[in-house]
Amino acid sequence: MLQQIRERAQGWIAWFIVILISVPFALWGIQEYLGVGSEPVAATVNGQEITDREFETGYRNFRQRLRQQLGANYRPELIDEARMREEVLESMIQNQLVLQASSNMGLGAGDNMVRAMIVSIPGFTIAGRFDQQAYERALRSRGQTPVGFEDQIRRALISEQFSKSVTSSEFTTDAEMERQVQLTRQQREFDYLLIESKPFQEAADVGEDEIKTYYNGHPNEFMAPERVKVEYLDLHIENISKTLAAEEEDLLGYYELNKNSYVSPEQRKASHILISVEEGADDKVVEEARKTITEALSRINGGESFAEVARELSQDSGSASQGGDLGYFERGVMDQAFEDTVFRLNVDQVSDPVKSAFGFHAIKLTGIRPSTGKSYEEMKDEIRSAFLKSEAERLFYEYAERLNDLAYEDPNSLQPAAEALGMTTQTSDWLEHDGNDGVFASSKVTSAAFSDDVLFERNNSEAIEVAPEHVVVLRVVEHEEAAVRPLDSVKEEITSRLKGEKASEMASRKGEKILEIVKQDNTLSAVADAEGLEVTSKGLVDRNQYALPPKLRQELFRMPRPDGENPRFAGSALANGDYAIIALHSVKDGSLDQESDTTDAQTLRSSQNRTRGSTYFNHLLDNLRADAKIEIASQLEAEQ
Amino acid sequence: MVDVNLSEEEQVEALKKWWKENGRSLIVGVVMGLGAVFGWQAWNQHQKSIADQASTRYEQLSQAVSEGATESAAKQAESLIEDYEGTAYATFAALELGRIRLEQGDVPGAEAQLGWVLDNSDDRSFQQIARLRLARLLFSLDRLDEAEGLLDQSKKDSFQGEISELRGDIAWKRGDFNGARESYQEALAIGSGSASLVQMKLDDLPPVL
Repeated sequence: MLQQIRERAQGWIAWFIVILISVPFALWGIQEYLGVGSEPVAATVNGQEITDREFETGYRNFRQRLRQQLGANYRPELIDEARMREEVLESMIQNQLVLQASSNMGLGAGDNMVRAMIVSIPGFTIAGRFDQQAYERALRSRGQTPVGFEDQIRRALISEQFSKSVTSSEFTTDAEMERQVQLTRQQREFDYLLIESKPFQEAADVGEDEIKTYYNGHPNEFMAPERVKVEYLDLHIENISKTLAAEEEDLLGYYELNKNSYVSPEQRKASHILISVEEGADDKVVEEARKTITEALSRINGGESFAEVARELSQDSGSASQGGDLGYFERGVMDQAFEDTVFRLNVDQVSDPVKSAFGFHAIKLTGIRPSTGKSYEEMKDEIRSAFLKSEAERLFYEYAERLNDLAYEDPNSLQPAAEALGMTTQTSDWLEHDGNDGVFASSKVTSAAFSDDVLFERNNSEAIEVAPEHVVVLRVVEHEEAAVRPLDSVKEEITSRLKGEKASEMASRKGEKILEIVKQDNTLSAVADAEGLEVTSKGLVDRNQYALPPKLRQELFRMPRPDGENPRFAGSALANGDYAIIALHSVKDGSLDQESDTTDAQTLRSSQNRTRGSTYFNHLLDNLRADAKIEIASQLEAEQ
Repeated sequence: MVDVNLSEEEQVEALKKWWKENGRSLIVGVVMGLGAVFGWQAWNQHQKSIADQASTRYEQLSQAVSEGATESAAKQAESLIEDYEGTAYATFAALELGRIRLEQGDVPGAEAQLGWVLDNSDDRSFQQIARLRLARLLFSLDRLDEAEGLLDQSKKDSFQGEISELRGDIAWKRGDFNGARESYQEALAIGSGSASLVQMKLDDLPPVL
């Protein structure tokens, strides 16, 4: 059989098999090079992936920038997360498209350009000059490598060239400037009449069934928000303080315990000379030291200054240079023998040798600060309030903890907790998600009241800290879903709305009739006299005359130009229900000549260039987008 | 190619014979293969270095433009187009030079640059941009037929709104107000960069009779 295989293995079949087998070997691991990783992908742009990780990083950076830009106005809860994610992904796709297009067009940025860019970034300079170490440190802190960052700069440079090529080369011809100015700075001269809708309201009749129809047709306008009533326990430190009283002995005890804060003890200031003796030193050394200190004392008694001798002999390196001065101290700080001596001496008196754990001292007392402070009797009121405060705090934290525990142990009622702590439960008014009073103004409290656990499971809430030393525990006792308000409570609202609508309809109908007459009269004044209306004359106005009602202004500038000497007439129903009849007398085109100032023309021209340039570039992006094959991962699409 | 039944000596003999027959072509093949690989790399390297040089020159040109050094910018653009013809940077420079020429009052010069981009760029968006700009230039010179002829060559894409607006302008200039109305309405429906201006142009037309 082997023989057979060997014979067959000579032909083309064998080669075919060998090639077949070699293919997987040759291609093994190629995905590493092609970047077809197994990482989750947010979107694919012409086969180029934007991975989830890249997207999340981009999203995070975007939010960070947003926070920096908005500062104190940053309100994350107002952000529509899903939409923002979509926008960030969209802009990343667009960047990718620009990058691909630039690379297809063969754009490049050499190392010299990248270097010049990096050197000009202020974050990498020290004292105005680029610093390699500062550069590398800054990148490390952002988790980037120089190679990665330089690549990023290169891409940014190329993308910028790509967009600049379109936006910076835009121009505006003189004809375009002229037309633009002619239209946008056009002025119109006109009169108008107002037929007010208000007088028609009396006559406007609104029937029951009309109200019902409107009510049924617009349920969204009459929604009452979701609301709850809660039962709650309000634990506040002030309420605890009120119940407390202090006995004399409590106050005395408190005074003793906190004496330090009422009385400052006597302090004494001393200088010393130390001849140190180590613990367990033999007698000879001790005698030697005693002799040294005695000699020192005799020099002092002989008239030499204590400070001089201390500087010369003292082995306490800390104080020797100060002439032995140790500053003020109170009892309980120094070695016992040392302290006893100090508190026995008179000022300027020098002690005999004193033996302490450190060795032999010669001590001179240099000052006394007597004990200061007030007695218990003097301080009584202060002590009482401090005592009550500390008692109240202690009790508050104890109660708060017990309240939390009790409310948790018996989640179906607040009664046990109330009884155990001697409190009474209170019941709130109806509460909505926001806009409530008192403790319920706090969003912490309302969000607890509307949480699943409290609202649907009907459990007690946790102890909610409304403010320092103020907690609330609540449970929902009544709940109303958001619902359409009953017809009776909104009837008046609907009636006045429908009346307004009818009145404005009537005003319009009358206005239209008057308009016909005006057109025949070829003037406003005749009708105005007949109807007792007033003609308002505004003279020449431009498009930015915001004091005019918007609809009137809009209609005025949409009217055809007057035909010869005759004014042009038009009517317009205004937002407030009135009806305006306009007589357009003349149109004055804007012109560049009237711009005595050439900078004005220049500003206009460059703003035109900018607008049109970016419009063209956006069209270019749309073209790229239309040609591209873009896939967006399904979970992101679902979010959209 | 090696028969297992042959003795060692015979095998060596066979190998030598095979080498004599095929050795030359094998070496040539390997050399050619390596040559192709290295040649390709060198070519790429060369292309990239040309792109980098052109890029630097374009950056200098932009710098001159932003500093308002018009004369110098124009000279730089001219030499960039000449030295790097066939790169995208030549297209960029020609667009920039077109604007400079127009601002210098040299309308034929501007026309020439935009025409050059239209003929030489192989990117459809850049062609479209050059075409629109050229048509707008011709419109401002009252060469309406030529402008319209250019627009007729354009294929439908994202620039369609701008093209409709310009068609409306051409019709308006000819006094064909109904044609203008139609084109402006089309531009508004498709969406153009300056919708409010198009609306004003539309409103400014005389009433339909």
